[in-house]
This record gives sequence, C-alpha cells and structure tokens, in this order.
Amino acid sequence: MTGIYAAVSTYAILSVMIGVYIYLKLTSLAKLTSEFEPIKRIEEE
Amino acid sequence: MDVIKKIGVNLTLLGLLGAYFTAILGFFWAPSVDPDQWNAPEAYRIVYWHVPFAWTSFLAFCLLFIGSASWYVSRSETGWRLINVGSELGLLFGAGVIISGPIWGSVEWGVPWDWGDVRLNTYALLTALAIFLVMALRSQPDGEGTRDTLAAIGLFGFVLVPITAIATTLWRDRHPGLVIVDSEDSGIDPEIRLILMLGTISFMAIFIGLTIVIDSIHRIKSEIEQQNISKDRVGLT
Repeated sequence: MTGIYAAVSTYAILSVMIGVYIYLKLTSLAKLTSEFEPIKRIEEE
Repeated sequence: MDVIKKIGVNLTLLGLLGAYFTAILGFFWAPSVDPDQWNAPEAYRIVYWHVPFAWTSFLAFCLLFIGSASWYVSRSETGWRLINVGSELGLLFGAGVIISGPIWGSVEWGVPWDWGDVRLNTYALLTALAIFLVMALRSQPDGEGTRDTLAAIGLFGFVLVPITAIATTLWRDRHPGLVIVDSEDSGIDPEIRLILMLGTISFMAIFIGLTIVIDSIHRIKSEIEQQNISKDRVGLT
C-alpha cells in the first residue's frame, strides 16, 4: 500500500465513521424532541 | 434548554465542516515532508486527523473521570450522565486513533502494531475500556450497583490517560514525539502547525457539540422514564 493510498483510505473510513455517528445522534435527538416536547407542553398546561 | 440544544447541534455541524476542511487542506495545501527521513512520506497526511482525534479522546476520558468522581462523591445524576457521554465519546475518538494509527504504521513501519511500544498498548487498553463501558451501559440494568461498578472502572481508566500522554516522552520507542507542544523533536513547518491547530479546534467543536447533544438525549430519555414510572404508580394506586 502506498503512502497516499493509506492516507486517502484512512480519511474515507474516518469520514464515514464520524459522519454516520453524528447523523445518528442528531436524528435521535430530533426524534426524541419531537415526540417528547408536545407531551411535556400539554402536561405543563 | 432548546437554545443549548441548538448550540450543540450547530457546534457539531460546524466542527464537522472544519474537520473536512482540515482534511482537504492536509491533502492539497500542506507541504510534503522530507522523503529521506520517512519510509512513506505521503502517509504523514493522516496526522491532521489522527492527532486531533487523540487529543479529543483524552478530553472525553477526562469527562469520564469527572463523571465517575462526581458519582462517587455526591451520587449526582449529572455525574452519571457525564460517565455516559465520556465513555461514548472516548470510544468514538479512540476508535479514530486506533483505526488511523495502524494504517499509518503499516506503510511507515511495515507493521500495523508494535507490541513493545508503551503508548500504543496503553492507548489500546484505554479504548478497550471505553468499549467495555459503552457495552455495559447498554446491557446492564440501571441501578446503584451498576453505576458504582462502572464509575470505578472509569476512575481506573483515567490513570492510563497521563501514562499514555507522556509515554512518548518517557519510553519513546517507535511512536513519533509530541507535535502540538513545542519541542526539539517536533520542529514542524508553520503550515503543518496551522492545519493541525485548525483540526484540533474543529474536533474540539465536535466534542463540545456532541457532549451537549448526547447529554440532551440522556436527559430526555431519563424524563420519559420518570414519567412512565409516575404513570405506573398512578395506575397502581
């Protein structure tokens, strides 16, 4: 494996890893917020 | 709360953009290193993510330590949430280091791992500990006993942080020396330093943003759980 190939493949793997992780966390937060906030608001009222 | 959540989301996305920009600069703007001193000079470009990943993982393990200590001292819910956040982010950033390091090692050293190098082995142990904590947090029933055990493991793990951080100075074997801190060994080009700093700031933004996001997720889940418990109690009476 040449040096540049190693660098490109590393960035590709890490980009997917961190990108997917952030996507999953943000969608999970959005889903929980949209489900929970209206219930909380009704209970507070 | 909503404002904090928005800050967390925006910081995470901004940090991610910065990290991708760092990678682009690392490939197209960063100068090449002396080909006589390295076996695979082009592979050094991995460093622009490898080092920020490593520094950020240490921050995550610090968070884990603060959470563990806080749980022991005051049995605080915040401490428990910090254990959750610290172990999850420790695993994420630790995995980044463990993936990128051996790829670089395989082209530069000819072997992906050196079992005689203290830093490599203590860091692997630290990441293994984060894997254990994340798996335990997902599989074990929540309770004081579980929290005590996992907090104790978190405290033990933190002992490895300073050992890993100074290992290249004390027992340097194959792993290159510190690059962010000025030293005789580093002597790095100003452009390389600038890109590294941008990478570190970007990853710091991702770290702070994700800390807020993950903490918010745990907060909401815990509130839902509390509501379900109160509804069950009302149903029983």
